[in-house]
Amino acid sequence: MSIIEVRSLAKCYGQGETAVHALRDAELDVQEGEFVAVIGPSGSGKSTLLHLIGGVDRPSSGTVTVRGLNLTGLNEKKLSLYRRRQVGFVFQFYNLVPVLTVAENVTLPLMLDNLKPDKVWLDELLERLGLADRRDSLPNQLSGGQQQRTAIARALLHRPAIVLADEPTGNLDSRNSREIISLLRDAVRHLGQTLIVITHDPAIASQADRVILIEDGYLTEQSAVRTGG
Amino acid sequence: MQSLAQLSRRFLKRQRKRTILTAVSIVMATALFAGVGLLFTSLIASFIMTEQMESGSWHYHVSGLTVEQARQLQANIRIDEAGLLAVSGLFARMPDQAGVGSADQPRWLILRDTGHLPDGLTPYRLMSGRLPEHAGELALDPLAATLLGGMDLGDSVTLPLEQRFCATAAASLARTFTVVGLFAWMDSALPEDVYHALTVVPPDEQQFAELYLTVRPAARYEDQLFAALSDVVPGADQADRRWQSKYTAPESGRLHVRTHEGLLRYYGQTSHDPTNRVMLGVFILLTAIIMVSVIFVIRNSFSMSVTERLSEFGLLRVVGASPAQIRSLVLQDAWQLALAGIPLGLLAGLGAMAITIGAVAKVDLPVIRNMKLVMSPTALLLAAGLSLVTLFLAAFSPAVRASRQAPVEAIRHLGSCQVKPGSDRKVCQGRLGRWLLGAPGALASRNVRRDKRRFRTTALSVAVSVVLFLAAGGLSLQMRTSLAAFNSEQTDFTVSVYASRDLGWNSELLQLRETLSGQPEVARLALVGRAFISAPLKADQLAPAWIEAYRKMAEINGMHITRSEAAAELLGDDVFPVELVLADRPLLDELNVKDPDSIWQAMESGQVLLSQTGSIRIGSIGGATGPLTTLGQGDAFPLQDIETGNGQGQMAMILDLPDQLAIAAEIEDQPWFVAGAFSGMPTVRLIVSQAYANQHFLAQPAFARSVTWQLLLDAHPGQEKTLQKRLADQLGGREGDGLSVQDNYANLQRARDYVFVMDVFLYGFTIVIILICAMNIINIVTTQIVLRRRELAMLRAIGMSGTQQTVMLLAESALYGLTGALWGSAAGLLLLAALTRQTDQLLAGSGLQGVPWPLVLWTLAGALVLSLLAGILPIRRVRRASIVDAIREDG
Repeated sequence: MSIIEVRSLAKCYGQGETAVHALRDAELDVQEGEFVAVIGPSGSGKSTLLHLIGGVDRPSSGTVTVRGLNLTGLNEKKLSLYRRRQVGFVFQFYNLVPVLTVAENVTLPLMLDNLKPDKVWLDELLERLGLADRRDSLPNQLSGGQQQRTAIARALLHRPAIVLADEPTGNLDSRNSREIISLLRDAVRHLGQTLIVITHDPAIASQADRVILIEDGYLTEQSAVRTGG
Repeated sequence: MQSLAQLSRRFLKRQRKRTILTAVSIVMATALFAGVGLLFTSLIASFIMTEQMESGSWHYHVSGLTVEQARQLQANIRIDEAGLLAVSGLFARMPDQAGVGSADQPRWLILRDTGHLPDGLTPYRLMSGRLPEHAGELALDPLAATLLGGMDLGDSVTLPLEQRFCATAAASLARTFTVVGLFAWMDSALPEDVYHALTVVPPDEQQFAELYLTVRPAARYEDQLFAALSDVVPGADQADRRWQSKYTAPESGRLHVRTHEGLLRYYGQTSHDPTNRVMLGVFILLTAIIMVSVIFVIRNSFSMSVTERLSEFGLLRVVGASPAQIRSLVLQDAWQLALAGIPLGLLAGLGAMAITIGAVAKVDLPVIRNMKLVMSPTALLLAAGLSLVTLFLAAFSPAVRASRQAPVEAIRHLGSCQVKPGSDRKVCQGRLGRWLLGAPGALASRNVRRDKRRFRTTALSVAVSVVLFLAAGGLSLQMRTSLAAFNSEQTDFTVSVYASRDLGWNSELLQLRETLSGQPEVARLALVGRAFISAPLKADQLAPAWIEAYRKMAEINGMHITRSEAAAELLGDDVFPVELVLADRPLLDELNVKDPDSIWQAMESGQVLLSQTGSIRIGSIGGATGPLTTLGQGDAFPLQDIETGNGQGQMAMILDLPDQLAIAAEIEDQPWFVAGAFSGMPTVRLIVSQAYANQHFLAQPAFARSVTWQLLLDAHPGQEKTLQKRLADQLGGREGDGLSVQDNYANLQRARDYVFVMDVFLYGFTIVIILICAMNIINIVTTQIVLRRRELAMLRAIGMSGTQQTVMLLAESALYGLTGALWGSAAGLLLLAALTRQTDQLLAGSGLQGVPWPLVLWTLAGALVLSLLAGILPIRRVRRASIVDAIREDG
């Protein structure tokens, strides 16, 4: 069953001669629990696709439907709720709130919903991500790997249906990269979440259920590399 | 350096919005410096002009010179202008009049020859006629003309001329003078027995000369004068410097120099005069306030700019820039801003003061009647200099910080959204913020404390404006409260007739009361006769609470006295002054006493209505209200015979006053027509009936003459002008000749005008400071938002709604404002308490008492609104920004 349905999706920045077509007529179906890797050269439209699926950007044309919810028809308030409850984002530059501790950063989406975190799940998550002893630290006291693991915990804590990761290892060394990807993959498997990862790293792409290649805004299904992990 | 200037210009251009905000702060600061400077110079020019118009433009008055010496001094190079008056050795003896002068103590006219006097130099002003042209002509001052029997132009008088200071009087001669002019004499008081007259003094009669002169500008006018004087009078050196404002008769023949204190103090030439110190003190205080406020703002701005450019500075260091060059680069920014901001600020200051002074000059007040904008280059240069110093002081510490940044650290720097090292020691919980506004509130509480130093600086700059606003508002409120207190205690209009003209119930006042009593604008009116008599009270008849209150009041004024000493002081020479109020029946009805008929009956048979409730303010710590004596209904109030004048300058004893008056009743409230707590010491009043007064008091002419008859009038609120006009129509210029109108309403209006003018400057100054501080908040909030664009986008990406983000950012703005306002309110109230304590003595304790809570609440609300407004623009900007674009930005 498709959790994400992308139909005739296009995104164009600017107008006239200076218009940049970041994405053209994209078609994509992602199944629930699937791990999809998106690869392609810089500026090909990978992040645009991720942003459109995550509801942080609006398409020029076409639709994105998540669990039957057409994102293109949502107003800003509903989009915020969608992002808060259905999506977990992991960014290349971690994007943690510097004034919040690790635990607070992780619980931020719940905090925005005025919800209390499941303490057992929080502890387990921090334990699994190796952050248990850093829960009261501020981001500037963490290493890059620890910061990215905090961002992953934040993306997972509220058990979103989809986890979107934009080059999550782009800023990390290879050891940390492997560790982060394996953590992400194990976590989404464990929770049955759908994971879409943008990456330049073939090793990461090779771990995905499916690899999507984007070139010049055109999306092509490259292969179904493997299943299971 | 050219390259540094270019780099600086490019950066300022790139940061257009912050550059504009900082430049506007500099413009406003310069405008304030210029405004304060121009205000002071214009005020001083206005005071100088007023003083010159009122007493002449002379700097010094030198007397006791010979005519020859005076001429030499007049021609001295150090003297600018001099008016020479030759003084006759002969004095004209004025004829004795009833009660004025006597054979033993004659009155004299000093005869002075003015010759040609430069316009406006001397304190002589011709009011009518002309100056004398020969020895038989005389110009008089009005007082002398009156004492000579009411002489007018064209009248003649023959006066004996005598050598007053000669041991052996020369043979007297007499001269007939014709009065050709009347002049006003606008100098200090004359000795009791000497009056002025201008005439032409024949050369053989010229004994001394005096000069009214101005010296050429010098560092010390006094030195300039004495240098000139010692050229003319050998030995006239330091020893002759007598700084007396009191008049010394020039005819004594002794060299005497008198300073025009009233004028020279404004030139800073009388250093002992407190005016200069006060004005200099106020100027320094205002300058310090502006400098501190502006330094906070501009330092913040530069600090943010440096933080943003740390990577750039790091790069410059890597390619070989020295710390000094980096420092110069930041200071170059300050220089570029100064070049743009200071000239604009000077123009703005000039324009604002031209408008303000133009508007204020329309209010007809004596102090500022001659006020005009003086375009003082000194004030403008000083303003420019102060702005430049302020700017460089503000920029210096960020410049040093930039220059100390290690190249590697600077390159690594990720922007000010990072929490500063050390800030992580104690993570602020933001519980209050969360409780009030949920997650956005908690985030806002943390965000404002990312950089504690910047938070403190911003809050302090808000605090400075709040302190100023509270102090200004509190002082203004103090004045207004005091005015209201005085006004509520006085009737709007009082028409008084002194009984020397009419010994009975004054027919004019009776008629006036008849006319006015039916008028719709009249709220209350009363016709009373008032006179003071003495009561031989014993100490134990004074109320103990009153004695204690008086003792405390003396203590506050620094006199420590016992209760018995306080009682003795209150009783004076064993007599207590008591006001006798002569009333008719309508007045009694106005007092709202119980059972007025029986009281009036008792009053007609010689009993009195006692009013003895007094209020006394004891400094600013409180007061006491209560009866002044232990006497009450049924007691007898003792009276004592009094002495009073007989109208011919002799004292006459009044023997026939009753020994005592029985008290028919007592009224607790003060009668509405008497001045109350704030109008001097409380008094016991005995209200007696008209009929009894006629028989036992007014029948004695000596007593009747001491009575002042008054028609007291209160208008309905808002209708004072109507009553004012009707009263003027009714009196039709009959004032004078024993009849006077005290227009408290007009006095109050004038006082309000003073407060208005004070408010214009006080609030004008404060508002500009507040605007500068608002710039700071805008600058801070904008920068914080711009620097956190990616973080804010991330928050949106993980689900923070636009409303939540707006609430968070507004809460941040509000936190800056509220924290500053709370700090400022605490400091402002302390300052206000100190100022109130100072002014309380001046205002007789009638001013502000306690904390002006409404003002504090308005201030807090104002600070909150201002800080929220400061956040609106940057918030709109961030809400419009694309999440995707912000996320894409590199760290």
